Amino acid sequence: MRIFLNGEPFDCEAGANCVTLLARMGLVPPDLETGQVPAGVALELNRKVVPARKLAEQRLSEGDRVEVVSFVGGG
Amino acid sequence: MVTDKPLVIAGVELGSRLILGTGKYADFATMEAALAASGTDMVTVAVRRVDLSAKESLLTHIDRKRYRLLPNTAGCYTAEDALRIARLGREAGVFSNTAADGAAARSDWVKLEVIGDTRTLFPDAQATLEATRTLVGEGFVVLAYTNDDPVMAKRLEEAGAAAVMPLGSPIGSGRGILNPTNIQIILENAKVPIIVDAGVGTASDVAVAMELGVDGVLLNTGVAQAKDPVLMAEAMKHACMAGRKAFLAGRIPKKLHAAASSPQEGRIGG
Repeated sequence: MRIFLNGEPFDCEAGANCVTLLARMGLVPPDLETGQVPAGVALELNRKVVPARKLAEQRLSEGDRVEVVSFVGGG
Repeated sequence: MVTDKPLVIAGVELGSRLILGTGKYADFATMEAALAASGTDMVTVAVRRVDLSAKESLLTHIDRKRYRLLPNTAGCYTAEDALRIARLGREAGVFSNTAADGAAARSDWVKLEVIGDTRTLFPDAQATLEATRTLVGEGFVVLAYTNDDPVMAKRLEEAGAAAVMPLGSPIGSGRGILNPTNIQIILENAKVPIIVDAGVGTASDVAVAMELGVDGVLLNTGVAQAKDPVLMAEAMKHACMAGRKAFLAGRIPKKLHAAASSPQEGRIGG
């Protein structure tokens, strides 16, 4: 299925969840046991933030718009 | 001798009255050295789409035990975008959600910035006020970037901003404090900390702001783009302390004519 990741079309397997996606991006996947998330990364699905503890259960659907952000230098 | 009290925002005591940005440095090593030289303990960061080609992450160069992170909403032109970025920044700022240190690791602080014009980067007052109300309602500690407008500063305070941050001059312009009288009026009316944010070009600009009595100064470009950022960061630290002390000490009034420092009595040749 096709989603939009950071504004660009992105193909991922049907039924993928947010953790699968973060892993595909090469970001350290959240450790589901401790609830640790990759430092300084946040994910928004269709304009709504998905909290770290919900990343694994949040499935993605065709056409979803996902933003994955982190901190950069700024004033 | 008058002694100073630390800057307190939303009940949190800060160790310095300088807040530094982390943008526009030539490299991370220079940034780290400049932050250390400035004596700051709170730094702003921006929230952007993950760059998978980036070799290093900013956060590996910021000691989070030493510096509080203040995510900004820079680059947002609508209240809605600013809200999205603030919420993402809050989530990205969660470094651990284990029960033991979850609360301490979470930061609800945001430097709210809603821009109204690309050329001047002047804030959109109406959108800033709207976003402040919403974010305060969601439990954020909002430090609101705004124009040097006393009425707007008051409105932001009434909306629940934890600190109001009027610009000295446009972002990155290095023109200093262009309207000190407005900053003074803002200070007269304020019940929350007032922090001059933007426009500082060199150390004397920080001193001027602090002598007016502002509670702190937030700066980025003036240090990051100086020829020697680390030395400039140190200069900013001293200017901040000097300006603060001069404010507390109470300057003499300005006079039109001279007033001799040496006695008039006992002069020879009378």
